[in-house]
Amino acid sequence: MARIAVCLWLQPMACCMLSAQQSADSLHVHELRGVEVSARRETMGTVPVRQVTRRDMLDMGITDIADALHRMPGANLRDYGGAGGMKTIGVRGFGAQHTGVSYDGVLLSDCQSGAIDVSRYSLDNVASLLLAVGGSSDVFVSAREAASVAVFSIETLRDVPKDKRAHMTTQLKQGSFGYVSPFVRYVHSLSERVTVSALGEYVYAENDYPFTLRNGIYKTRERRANSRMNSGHGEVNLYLQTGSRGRLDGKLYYYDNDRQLPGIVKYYTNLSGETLHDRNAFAQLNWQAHSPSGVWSWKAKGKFNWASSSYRDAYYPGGVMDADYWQREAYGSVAVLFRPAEEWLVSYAADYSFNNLNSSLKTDVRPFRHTVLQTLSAKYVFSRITLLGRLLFSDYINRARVGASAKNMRRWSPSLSVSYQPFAAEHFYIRASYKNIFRAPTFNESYFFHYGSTELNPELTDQYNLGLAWEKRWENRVGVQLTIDGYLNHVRDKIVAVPYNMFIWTNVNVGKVEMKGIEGSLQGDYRVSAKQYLSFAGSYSYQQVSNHTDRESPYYGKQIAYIPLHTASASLKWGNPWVDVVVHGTGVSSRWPNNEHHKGTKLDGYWDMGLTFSRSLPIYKGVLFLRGDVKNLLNRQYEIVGNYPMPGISYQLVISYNF
Amino acid sequence: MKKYLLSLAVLLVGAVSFTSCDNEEDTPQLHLVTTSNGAFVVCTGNMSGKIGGSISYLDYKKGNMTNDAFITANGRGLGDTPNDGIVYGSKVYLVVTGEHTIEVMDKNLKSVKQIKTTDLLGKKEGNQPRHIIAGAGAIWVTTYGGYVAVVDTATFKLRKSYKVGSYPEGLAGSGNNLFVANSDYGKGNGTISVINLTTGKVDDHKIEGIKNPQEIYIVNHRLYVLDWGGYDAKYNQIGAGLKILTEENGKPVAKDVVKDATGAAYYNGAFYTMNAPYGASSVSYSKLDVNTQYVSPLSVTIDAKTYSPASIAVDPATGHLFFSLYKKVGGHASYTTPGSLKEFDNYGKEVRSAEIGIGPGKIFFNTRIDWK
Repeated sequence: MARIAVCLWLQPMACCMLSAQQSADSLHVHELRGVEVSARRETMGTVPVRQVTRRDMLDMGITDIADALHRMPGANLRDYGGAGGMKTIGVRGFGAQHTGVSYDGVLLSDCQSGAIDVSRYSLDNVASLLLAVGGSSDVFVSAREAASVAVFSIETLRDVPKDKRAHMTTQLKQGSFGYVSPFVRYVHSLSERVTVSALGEYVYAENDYPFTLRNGIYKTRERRANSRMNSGHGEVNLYLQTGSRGRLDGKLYYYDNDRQLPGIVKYYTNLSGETLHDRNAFAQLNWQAHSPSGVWSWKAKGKFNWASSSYRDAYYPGGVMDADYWQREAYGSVAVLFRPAEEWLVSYAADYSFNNLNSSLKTDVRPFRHTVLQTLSAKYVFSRITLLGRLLFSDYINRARVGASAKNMRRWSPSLSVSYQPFAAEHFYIRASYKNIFRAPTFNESYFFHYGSTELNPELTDQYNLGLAWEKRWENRVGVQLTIDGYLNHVRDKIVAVPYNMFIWTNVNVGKVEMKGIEGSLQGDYRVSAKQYLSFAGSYSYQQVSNHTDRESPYYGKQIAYIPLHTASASLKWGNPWVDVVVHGTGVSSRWPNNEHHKGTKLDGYWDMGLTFSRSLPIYKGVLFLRGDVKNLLNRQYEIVGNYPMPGISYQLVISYNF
Repeated sequence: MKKYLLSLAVLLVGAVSFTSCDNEEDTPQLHLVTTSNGAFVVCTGNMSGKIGGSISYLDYKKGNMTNDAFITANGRGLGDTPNDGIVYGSKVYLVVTGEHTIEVMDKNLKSVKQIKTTDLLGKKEGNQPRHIIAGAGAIWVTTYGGYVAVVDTATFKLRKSYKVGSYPEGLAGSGNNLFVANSDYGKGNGTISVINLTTGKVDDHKIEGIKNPQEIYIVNHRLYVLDWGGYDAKYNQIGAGLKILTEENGKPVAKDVVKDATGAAYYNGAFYTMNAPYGASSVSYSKLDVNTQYVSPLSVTIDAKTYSPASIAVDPATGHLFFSLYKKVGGHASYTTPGSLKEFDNYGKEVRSAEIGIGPGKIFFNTRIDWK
């Protein structure tokens, strides 16, 4: 039995560094044994999933993680602009705190703000990105992966070379506005069982991009100021094959980003004295194995995480705005999968995490939290029906060293999803899912002096999804994949965060929110000739996310701040033996930066086009790869977050050599 | 030391006179008559909601309110957080904190000049101008950089600057002394700076009973300070009030004259105060008789379910009381919806109510002083 599931839809190879998505899929082997596997997980899954592989990144002209998220239907990215600007991801109108972000199988945590800044993660060592909304099609996951509205998974490259020599990738990226980023990766299989890899990456960017400032009837050209960033990231990975049926992965990770913050754009000044220095270090272990019969499988994970952030504002005398924060997390998870019969899979997972936060503030109460999460899941695969049910029991124990602690929380959260294939000969699936989940208030929301409240209740959510997915190939010449999902979500006790600046957020308790939406994706490829092909990827999302708090309020029924009604993306690639060309675009309709829809504050919709050229050349023993990108080709001036203009037309060049 | 105490507790009257929108001239002006044609309201806006600051103007004669008056007159906006304003001579001055600017306009709000305080004083020194008074042919502006800038109103050039205490806010002048309330950004160590305008010497006084001074008033040669105090972890208001400076055992101390106040205005022998602590369910209004030091409830009716007061002012010509108010949405003051201005006559009867811009703040009056 091959360890790598054959569920990838193989297309003509263009990228030199494609690695199989084995980490998650290897387990599908067990689950799906006896079932004919040839459809993608996006089609077959019981919940909506969008995966972007390393290949797709090239095929779709994706330049960075933010760009990748813009191509995923349902994702709402908050982007403060430029390489140094924070980027957080919400899904289907939920706040960013509802999206779990995992890095090689373990969720990242920020107990302070609850939202992960995805701008930290570059695509240079990413194998795939996956956004799963409203649950998971996989039965064998840690409890924590089942504890959020959506999970965005970043899987890094874990290719295991067949030979025993060292392999190196060296890359240099250079772009507009003083952007330069060298990247080095080394991977070496020391023996049949042992592979090590190490990587280092550095990013320097001035980010002093020009933008158009509109002030009443006047229009002026300005530049972003105080926007420089200096960032580095290093990793060491160890992949061990343990026995014939197990494996152990270990990772050491360090990230450091010292950046200036330009702040909101003002009419008559560009002075900003703000800086933010983020550091993050973690070590994690992932172990998994299965019994000889395949009836039992086990997983264990462990992580220790340390993060600090230092904020300074030089223009406030006496350092009154300055603050340092430190947070730590210890995390452990065990999971077992039992397959009593061919069509049944039962899994139990238990996760424990400890989080604490302290700061330089006089008002610090030194909060900490114990979290115990347990799930019992069952999956039933019979004929053309797949059913997956899961029950999560959460226990949050909150304490503070000084003063009052936030409420403890205990809840049961059920979810159920189903996929049905009506016709045996067609890869056409109907899926439906329900998920109930909540999020505990973040430490900022609970404890930040005056801003926080220890009386907060969790935000409760319900998600209902109904979707169709279809894929087909004709004579290996034409392929089409289509998904359409409609959803209905409710949030009770919702807290909507509106940024004042990148660090200080103002929470508006909207109370009740109702989301209704439709989203779809279409992918296709057409082989023109032996050496030429076209591939297309598009997504569309309609989101009606409205305030349902108070029927008497004039804002009842109005769209929540920053959620566009329409979001779309499209890309078309011409693959050929000379230079591959991709033309792509993403856009949204207009948005309100406030829940009141105050006259004159509407942010216009935009359409951001890009062009990508790439070519791989075998040189000596390796492969030379060249890529050029033109971003914001139409030079549209737009904002995603109010008063944070995005860059206009710019370029990026990549040269890499891999052997 | 004794000398400073004297200057704090009892003031000496000198030649230079200052005007500000809150406090009356304390020197008798027998042959000058103040008339008032309208009220300006500074609206801070809300940058988190992408709403820039604005100014609203109530024209007494026409009886109408003009919102967004600055952008209408000039085609450009005020920007981030206008905080204070004053009418002096034939011009209107607005201090815009987030933009580090002072907008100078004629009385129709047509821009005459934009002064950048960071150019005038330096990036750090001129950062975030806060409050303004006028007198002696100059405007006097405090900055969070810790300075008082004196700008000549004929040339708009910097005449002089004084380094004062931590996070200066309101200021008042009398004779050859200028008094500055240094808030210490609410960190609890507020002080009062005394600038001797003759010698240029600045003394910073830590005074018992002063935590977070915001405004300073000179009445009958006495100093009154509006102190916002602070809040404990449970949002209980601590140490806020209108205080009078006095001395006790040879030390300067501030004594409460109106306990718990977040806004005050002086007119004709009385202070009118309001107390609207952050997150408070109850709001109170008081009147202090300066001569008797007697405090009585102020008879104005403002529906606490609909409004939350932002600032209080008295028209120096008519004695009418004005309040700028946040509207309440869902039980809380809304910082992203238009506010209101209410006018009460001398009997406490509401005579006008009008919608104004977002983030209502300071009220000042379109006054002129004529020889009569």
